Amino acid sequence: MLATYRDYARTLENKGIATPQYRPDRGDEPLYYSLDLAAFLTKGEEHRTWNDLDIQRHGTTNGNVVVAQTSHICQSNSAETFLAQVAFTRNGGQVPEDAGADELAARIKPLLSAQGMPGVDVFGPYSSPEGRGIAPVVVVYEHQYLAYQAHFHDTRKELDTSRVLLYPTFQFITRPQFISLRPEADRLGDLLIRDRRLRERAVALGFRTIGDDTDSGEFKKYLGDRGIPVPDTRTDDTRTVMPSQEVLNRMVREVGDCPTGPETPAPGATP
Amino acid sequence: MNRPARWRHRRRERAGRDRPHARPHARLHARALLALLLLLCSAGPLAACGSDAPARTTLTVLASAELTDLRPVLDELRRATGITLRMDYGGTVSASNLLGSGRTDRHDLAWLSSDRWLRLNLKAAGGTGAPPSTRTMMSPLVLGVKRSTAERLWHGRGERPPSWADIAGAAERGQLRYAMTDPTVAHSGLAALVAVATAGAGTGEALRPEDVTQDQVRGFLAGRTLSAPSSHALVDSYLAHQDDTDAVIAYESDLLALGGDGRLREPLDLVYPQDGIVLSDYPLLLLDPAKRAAYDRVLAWLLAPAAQKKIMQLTLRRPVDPTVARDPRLERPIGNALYFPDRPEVVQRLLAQYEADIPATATGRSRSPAPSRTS
Repeated sequence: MLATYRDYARTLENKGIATPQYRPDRGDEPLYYSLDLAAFLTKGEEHRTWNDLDIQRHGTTNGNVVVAQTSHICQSNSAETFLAQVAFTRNGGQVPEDAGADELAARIKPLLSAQGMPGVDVFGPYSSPEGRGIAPVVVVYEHQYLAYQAHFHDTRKELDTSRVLLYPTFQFITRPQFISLRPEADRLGDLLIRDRRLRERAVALGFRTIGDDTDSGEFKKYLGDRGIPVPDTRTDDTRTVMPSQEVLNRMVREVGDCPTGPETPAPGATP
Repeated sequence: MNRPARWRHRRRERAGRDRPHARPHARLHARALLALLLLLCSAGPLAACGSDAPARTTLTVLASAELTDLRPVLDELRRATGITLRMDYGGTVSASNLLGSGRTDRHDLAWLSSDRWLRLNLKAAGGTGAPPSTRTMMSPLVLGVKRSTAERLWHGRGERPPSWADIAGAAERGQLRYAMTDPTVAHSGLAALVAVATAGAGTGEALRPEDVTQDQVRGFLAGRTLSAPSSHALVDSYLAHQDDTDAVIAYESDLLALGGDGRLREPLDLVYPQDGIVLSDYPLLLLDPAKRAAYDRVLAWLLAPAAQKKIMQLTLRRPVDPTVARDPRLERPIGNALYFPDRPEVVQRLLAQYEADIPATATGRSRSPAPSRTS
């Protein structure tokens, strides 16, 4: 999903591109918005800048074109996933297949290359005090944002209501998988699923844990204890489906001008 | 150009070990596993994930010239970790050219004001990627302009700061004489060229080759009266010629330090151009994969809040750790960052135009000096 700032979300809301996911009972502002990804992409295709969308109404100015910043698509799973979302959206809601994948990649390439050279990491810059200037709209994982809010609450006893999440209408839930390469590693995998402390640590890092879909689950409790609303991921009209790995790799190479051969993610890079 | 032999070696090793394309979704799983392991590492003391570094180690570092101001930090790093960084200083662009050409394998690490030019160099060479890189601190490129000049040129703009286009326009009209580093040597000069050209194109997107015009660069450079191979040398040059120079294009950190040391005859106002700044984020890069454990220990120390605070107090660069409270001089918003081009031919074209417009004998001109070593 996309992480941004309140003034950017409100600008998108004014243009009918984003909708608050809920209206809080108290005077707070919502932390989560639904994003019409197709309409958002259209603004980038039309080369519209944030100033063109009248962001000045909200006390901000930005002459950069309306695109989301990702980490390097050749190295980053979150960027690759966003590419799949964009491709699905710009393929008429169809999963891209082998035929036409190259043409589709060439068509959506400007949406991902307008940001120029991507950073190694986007959440670090976004969460910094300078984030509004250097990384105002970034592609991140939900757990990164929730972990940030939890840490913010633990240290300041309030939420950071200036930073918000945009949930694309076609969205993905990433499910990190642990793969045992040796029989001994099965034990570690078992602990990751069942050990209470490891599960608590995963939740503290913002992850939804497996088998925790009840209202009293540890994920909801952890957020609830900190006054963080639980994001609703069930309201979407459809769920994007990834293309085959071969098709996705081809599109990634085309869009990211990726070198051939494996890449080494930098330490601290957005995975 | 070829990449350094050690990077090629490392990638062959990975290709054989990970077999990332061996089966569908294997790459995704490998990344998820790596992320998981990083999370587990972050759950405990950092030392537990990098404890194989020897107690006393010396690492050779190809470093940007302005990092000479970190010497007291490096002394503390050595005392705390047993790791000595032996620094070879030079211009960021020169160092990136050297690394990108594959003509050196003398260094274990590189510590540059930015790795953008290195990444473009490697891309132009058709390499398979850049070395691991982690940001350590930040400083935006800004204009320090005499208050009287700012009032003369931009009086009545209220809160709205001038743009790069305003700065270039004033230079072209002969109303602004400024100092800027040599973009063929130093990143700050290169970043200024990119900023002026990007703002001049006015697309709101990263600069494309067809956006670069001779007029933008020529007009802007008409006002450059002082140059130097590094931002620190530039500041010294400005101090020596401050009576007949109106402004300096340099890092926020340099200009804040200059403003506080009493050597200015007229204060400099810091201008964060309205159409965008270029941020330097001082990445530490691992060149020799065999030094990974020591690299991780250096990073763990540098990125801890105590060291981040120390670096900020010493150099006035902004911490990358968002939890470290900013010095009051660093609380000012920096404005928006311009998108930096990702195509080597764009920057090559800008530099070619620069070379064509500035004769090699221009004031203070300096070309790729040999790195100077200290430890």
